[in-house]
Amino acid sequence: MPNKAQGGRKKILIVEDDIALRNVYEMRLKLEGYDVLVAADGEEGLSTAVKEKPSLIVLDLMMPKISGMDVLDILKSTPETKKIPVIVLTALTQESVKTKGYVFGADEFMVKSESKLEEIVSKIKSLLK
Amino acid sequence: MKKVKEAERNRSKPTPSLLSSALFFDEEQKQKLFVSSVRRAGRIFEILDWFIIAASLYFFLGFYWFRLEPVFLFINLLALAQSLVYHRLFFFNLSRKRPGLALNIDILFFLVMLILLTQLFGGIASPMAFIYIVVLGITAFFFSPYFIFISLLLEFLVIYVFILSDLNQLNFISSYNDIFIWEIILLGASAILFFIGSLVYSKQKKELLRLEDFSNQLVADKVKSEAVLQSMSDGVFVVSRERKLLFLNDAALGIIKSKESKERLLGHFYGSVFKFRIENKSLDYARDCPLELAITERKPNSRNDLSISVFGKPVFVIISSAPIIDAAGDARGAVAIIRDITKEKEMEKMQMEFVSVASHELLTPITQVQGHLSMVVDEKIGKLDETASKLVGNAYKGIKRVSRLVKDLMNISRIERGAMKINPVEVDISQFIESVVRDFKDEVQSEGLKLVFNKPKRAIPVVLTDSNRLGEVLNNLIGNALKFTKEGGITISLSEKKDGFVVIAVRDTGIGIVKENIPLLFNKFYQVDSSATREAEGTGLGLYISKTIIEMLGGKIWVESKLGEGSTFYFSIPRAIITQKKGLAKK
Repeated sequence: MPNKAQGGRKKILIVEDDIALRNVYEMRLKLEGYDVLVAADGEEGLSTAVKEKPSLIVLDLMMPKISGMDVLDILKSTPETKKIPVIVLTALTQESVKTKGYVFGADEFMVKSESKLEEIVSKIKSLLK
Repeated sequence: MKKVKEAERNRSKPTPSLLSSALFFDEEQKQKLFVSSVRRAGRIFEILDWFIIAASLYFFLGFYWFRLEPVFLFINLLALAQSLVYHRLFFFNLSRKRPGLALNIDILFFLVMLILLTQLFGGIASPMAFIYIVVLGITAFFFSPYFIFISLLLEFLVIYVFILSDLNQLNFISSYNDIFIWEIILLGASAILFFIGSLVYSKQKKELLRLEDFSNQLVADKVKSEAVLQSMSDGVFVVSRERKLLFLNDAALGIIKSKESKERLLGHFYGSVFKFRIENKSLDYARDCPLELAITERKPNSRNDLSISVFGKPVFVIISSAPIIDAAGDARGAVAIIRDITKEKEMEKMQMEFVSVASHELLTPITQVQGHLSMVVDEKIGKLDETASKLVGNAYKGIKRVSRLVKDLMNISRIERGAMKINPVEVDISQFIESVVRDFKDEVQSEGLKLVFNKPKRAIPVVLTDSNRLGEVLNNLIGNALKFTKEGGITISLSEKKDGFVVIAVRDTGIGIVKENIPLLFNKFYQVDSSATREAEGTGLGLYISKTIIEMLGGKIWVESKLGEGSTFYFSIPRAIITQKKGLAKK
């Protein structure tokens, strides 16, 4: 497998409650040579983000305990995590949600049903350049 | 409305009518009524007969001279004949078959008896003559003027017989002669007067009857048509050229749940009674109301996307309207039929919500399978041998197909629920098409076809449209072209029109489309040829979705095709989309 050098590896945190999707994203991003951390809900996501300080966060919105929108709000208003780029990846298609996401500081907003896996990967790549 | 009540009353009466008799006026019943009244009259005549017989008997016993009178005997014979022979043997049957004739015979019997009685009691001087004239008048006016002739003849005959008999038996020539002349003059003059009077009267009566018939018939027709409209389970209402409500039936009243009586609603602007709304906004009547279109364009038309606001709640209806056109060809108004489809709409909504939920649920596992497989197919986890590559490749194709299908279903449910939203963004259309074409590269190559995008020489400015939706349409058209093309390739071209539209064409060298099928192509669930599509996958929803999307984007979609040579699908989109919901309106 390519790109196994320890030093330059970037950490990506995936916050997604659906284990199936989490697995797919995890596997795919690992293949790209990233270190992938996963969290199954908002609370876990927040604590991992603060502890590990990943290079990028892929964030679902509809999750148990703390919703993705709240996680985003907290992340972007905490000085330590403020600079971490966040890709919101959600099943919600409403324009209002999208606007809210951008207002709360999301760097990218993607709708699950309209985004292919490769598109997500290329978005991550371009944000990490 | 008063008229209707009147008509309701008339319905119980036997009223002659031509058109509506079959439905509302029983000819048989009318005849029965006449027969029974003739029989009643017959009974009265019978009673009179027996009265005469009884009176004669009294006179016979009291006054001896009566016995000598042959007239006296003759009157009694007539009375007996009428009551015992005519009434017992013929009257019943005759009154059933020809009630008019039966009655006339009765009257004749009675008249003859009266004439004889007159003569018996002293001719013109007797009080019987007065009774005779009155009865003659009544019969002439109410039955037939020709009775006068018959009775006059009989009168003269009787007078003649009397005088002859008197001449022989008694010597009263001089006095009888005077009476005779005066009798002729008086009876003749009164008879002529009666005759003329009754002729005029009967003519007027006939005219009156005819008019009455006619108006009864009109009312009956009105009652009939209103009864038919009334009994319909769909709401019906009629609007005048001035847009005033002329009629509405109970079902229509039921739809608007009005507590007002019908009479109170009539005469008002129909839009104030039926508060039509479209997508929860009040309706632009002149543009969107079928009734207005029926009156102004004189064409029947219908819609199923309107609702009526009933105490603030929407009642969804199908409304069909047709113009009422007069002989000159002008629209006098319009009639509309409305049916409450709220329940159906709710069911449809539930169905669509189920489809939406189900397809969303399916999407996650599909993404999972697709994601994992793509990593294997792309050999990102290691090289595959030939067999494995083929098998995994097939599996990947399969899951991509499922994914497209589920996305089609999601789109359909969005369209049907009116949840399809347009989010306009600035799109460099050339670049956009290039990126879509790039996505198809692998698929096209594996099929051994070519996919070319002919970039226009002149750069096309940025277009303000929904890139996600546009991508769906392009994907669909290119996917379709691939499905139906065995050799050759697909060419995409882009051009800018002067009217502010951009036209994109997807041309293939496929099997083409039969001319007759072209108008059906964009229908829901339509597939050109079942044998062709068995090989070529698809739900038959793609073109319907594409059409809906393009219309929502403010453009048009159309196709040119030649069987065996290929098809070209064109669609246009405006340079800048004006976000409008109108595109959702369904026919």
